[in-house]
Amino acid sequence: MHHASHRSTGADRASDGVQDAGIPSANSLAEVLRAVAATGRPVAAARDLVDLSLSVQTADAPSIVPVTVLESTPVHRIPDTGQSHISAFLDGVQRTMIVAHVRGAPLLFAFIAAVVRERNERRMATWREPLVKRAVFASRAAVGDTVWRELESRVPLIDCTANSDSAHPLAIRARLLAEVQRTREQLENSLAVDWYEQESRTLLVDGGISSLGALVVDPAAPPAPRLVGVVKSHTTLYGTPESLDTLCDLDEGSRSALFLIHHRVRPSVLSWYLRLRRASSGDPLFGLVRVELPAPAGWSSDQNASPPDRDVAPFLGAVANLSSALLAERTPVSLPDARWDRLVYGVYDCERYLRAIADHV
Amino acid sequence: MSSPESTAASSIRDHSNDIESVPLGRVVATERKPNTSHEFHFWTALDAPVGIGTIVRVEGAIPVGGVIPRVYGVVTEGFSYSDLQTPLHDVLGLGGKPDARASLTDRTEIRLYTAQVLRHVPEEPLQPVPMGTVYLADDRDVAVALRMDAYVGGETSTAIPIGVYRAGGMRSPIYVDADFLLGPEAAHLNISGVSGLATKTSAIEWLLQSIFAHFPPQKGSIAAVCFNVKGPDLLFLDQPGRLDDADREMYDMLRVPAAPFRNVRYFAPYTARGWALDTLRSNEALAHNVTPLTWGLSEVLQFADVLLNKDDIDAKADALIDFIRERVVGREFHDTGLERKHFVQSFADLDAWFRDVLRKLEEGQGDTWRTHHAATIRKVRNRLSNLSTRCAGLVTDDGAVSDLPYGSFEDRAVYVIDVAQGEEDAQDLVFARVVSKLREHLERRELGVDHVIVFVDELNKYAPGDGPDTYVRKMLLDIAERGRYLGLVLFSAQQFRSQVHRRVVGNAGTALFGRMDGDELATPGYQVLGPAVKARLATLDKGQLMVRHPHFAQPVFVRFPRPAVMSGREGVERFPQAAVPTLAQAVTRDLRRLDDAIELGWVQTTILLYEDSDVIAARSAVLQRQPTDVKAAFKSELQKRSRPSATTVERAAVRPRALRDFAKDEYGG
Repeated sequence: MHHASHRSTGADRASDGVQDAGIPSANSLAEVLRAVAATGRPVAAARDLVDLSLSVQTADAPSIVPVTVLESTPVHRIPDTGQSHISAFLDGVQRTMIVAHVRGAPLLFAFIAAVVRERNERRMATWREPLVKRAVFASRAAVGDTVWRELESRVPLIDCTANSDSAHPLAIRARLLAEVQRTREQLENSLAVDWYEQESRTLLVDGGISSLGALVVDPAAPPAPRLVGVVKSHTTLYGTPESLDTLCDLDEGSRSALFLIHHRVRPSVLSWYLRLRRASSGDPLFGLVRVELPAPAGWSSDQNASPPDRDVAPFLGAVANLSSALLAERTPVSLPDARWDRLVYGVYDCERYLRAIADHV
Repeated sequence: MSSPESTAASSIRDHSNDIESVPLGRVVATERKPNTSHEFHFWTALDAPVGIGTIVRVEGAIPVGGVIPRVYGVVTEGFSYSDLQTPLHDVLGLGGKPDARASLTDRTEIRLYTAQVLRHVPEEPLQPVPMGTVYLADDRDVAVALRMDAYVGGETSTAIPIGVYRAGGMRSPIYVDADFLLGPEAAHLNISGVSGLATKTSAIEWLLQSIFAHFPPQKGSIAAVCFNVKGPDLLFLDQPGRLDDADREMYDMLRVPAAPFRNVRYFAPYTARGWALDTLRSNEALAHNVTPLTWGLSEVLQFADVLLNKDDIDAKADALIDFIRERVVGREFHDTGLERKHFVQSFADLDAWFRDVLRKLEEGQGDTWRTHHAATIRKVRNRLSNLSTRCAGLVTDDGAVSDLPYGSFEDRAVYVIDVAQGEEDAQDLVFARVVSKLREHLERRELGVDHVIVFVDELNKYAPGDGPDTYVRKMLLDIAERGRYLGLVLFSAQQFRSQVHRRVVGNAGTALFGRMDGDELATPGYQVLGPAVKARLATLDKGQLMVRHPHFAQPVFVRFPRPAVMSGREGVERFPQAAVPTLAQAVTRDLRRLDDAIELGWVQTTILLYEDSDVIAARSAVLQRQPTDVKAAFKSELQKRSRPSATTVERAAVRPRALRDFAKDEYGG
């Protein structure tokens, strides 16, 4: 699959502002609309500028993926210490809207941003600068070279042409959205790398951390993890059908056994489930999060190695501390967010911050 | 005394060069809560030094007509909220247990303020406040915001310091314009506040000190007449008060000498018995500038309306009083059938005249005398004779007069009239006559000074919003509406502004507010104030005021120093009231003002055989005449009035006094 022609990394990103120098960026949606209109093509009316991120849902089917369980005890009670060593939270956001069509192919304006919010004396504040990107995503093959060059001189364009590309407008749109999603991960990862390189404190990343690449392969043993991922969606559940019973019955303040998640192209991660809250209705996924930690180097290659070969004992202290910290992060509650049962306040704060700057797209 | 041009202008310092302005907040507006040309909203950091009453400057971003707009405002409302959508969420977060362990993170909060616009620069075009950066106002900003730049500084400065505005570690002097405080543009000042904090009296004392220090030379001379209507509040204006370092700092900053008034004279009527002054300032150490206030018949008759209400005086009675005033008092009067010629100078003379007229009527055939019916004559006699009883101590039967020095008022002098101990009628009479005399003399430019400030406390009593239309109220209305053209300026105070006649307070160009009562703030007169300003008014400390002045588009909160004069409470402790003197002691004390050699023993011996009333009359006559030989004059006055009766001599002989030599200070000095 051919990816976007512009990539951003922590190394090449400018560090002196909210803009990422690695990918061309526009100042605002209005600027993009004016630029496209200047080419003589009709642009979307204001009422049609709908955020596709809200209307297009991923269609992944629910699944259960087997994993390597690293502990024999299936359930662990977590002491509620009320203490947390998590210092900062990372999250990203994207806003996408179709601003025009050229030969039936959509031009997708995207606002993409990521931020780290750190806790200073109980109050949340922005760490360094947020990464913000505004650009038009389009398929060069679909819109044609002539139009592409005309637009390129006016607005920042990101080519999302794929080799075996379908000309179906919806297929193109799906690909553009996927590229936006990937760019967002790119910004998040860039911030995470910066944090990892500059800070010795613990950063909580919203979502999985396997996409962080080599960074998540922790060479330390035993580890003192400075990155922890918290996954709130459970379309994919890790375990066996038998272990699901235990998972569904997990009490508030308890965690599952530690397990190792293997990825084909990404590094493996250590993971476990933690029940932050218990629903009186019995919803098995209510208040359930999955925590990810970087796995030690060398654990990623052999999927079939047995637990004794991978001594988890040095990790258990970190796992307990992180679990306890996450329980402490349950308050303040993140209401009125619909995911409040799983959403820690720090991440909620990141989302609200990004929503505020997204209002200026 | 410092001159204003050298003081006020230099007090306004421009911080723009020596202090790097740090933004305090940002202007925000939404469709639901837009900014207007008179109101705007801004947010700040949680620890920003902003509160209700803080003055801020907004720097616009987009030039209008080539000029970056600058807007000044005063904070009138503040809001604080977090991202909590409903309190229920907090309950949920803590599991319904208020004592649950606190969160590790505080919710995101906002401090959002609403400010009322004080001034736009440039003034035109008048646009809504732009989205801009908000700064704490420095001295120069405060001056511009309150339009003080129009009258502070320069050779014709008319700035009068009224207090210090404080915000965020900055302190700025606040000035009012003498042209709008003391005339002719506007005039008069009214102060409201709850009782008991001494804010009202302190503020007036401080302001008088400030006016005396900064009254512009080109406006002439000024004096103050203060009516002390309760307690010892104004009785120690010439004594130094207790000041702390903060007070002295404010005095220095505002360039007002931290010293008591240099020229104060006190006036008080006698007690009903007639020989001791009816004042709490009776300590011998302070007696040197206390003068009796006594009036005779002609002084009182002119203001009979003050004491005689409409039930007393109908048209017929009024006609008779006019007749007496014009044809009888102060001149020789004779009529056919009267026993003798009358020369009416005192209430005693008037009563003799009435007796003679009524005798003639009784002896004659008709019911009328000179068209006046006998019943009317009796009624008027009754009412007028009653005046000296109702105002005993102030009104003398014998016509002795001791009054304010009309015609020789001195610049920067304070004349305090202590009527706190007097009856209500007497207070009304004193007020009416003094103010009328001041007005008369100012009209003729013969008072001795060009401007007089008249301070009246308890205004809701003298000029109530409802109730009968009394002489005193009419007089106050007259001062409020026309006094500024004459240089007659009313400084008034009361607890409840809402209970004072609207035209009296409405004509006060400058209004001060100390701590206010919640019920009072709920009255319609305070509707223009927002809830936060009202809340601040309800909790103001001593030494804090809200000031409304014609130049200020919005009220501003200031602090003022303690007056550099002794408080009434401390004064009565430091200078306890002298014991009630005997007649001999009182006469000795009075005569000693004219002759140090007067001794108590001599006075006791001299007055031994005389009636008290004759002694008092003789004393008054001597004080009025101020003879060289006081002893001889006093004896002469005594003998002129009365000779001791045989009964008195006999009584004195049967029970002789233990005459002996008296020490000079035995009367208690």
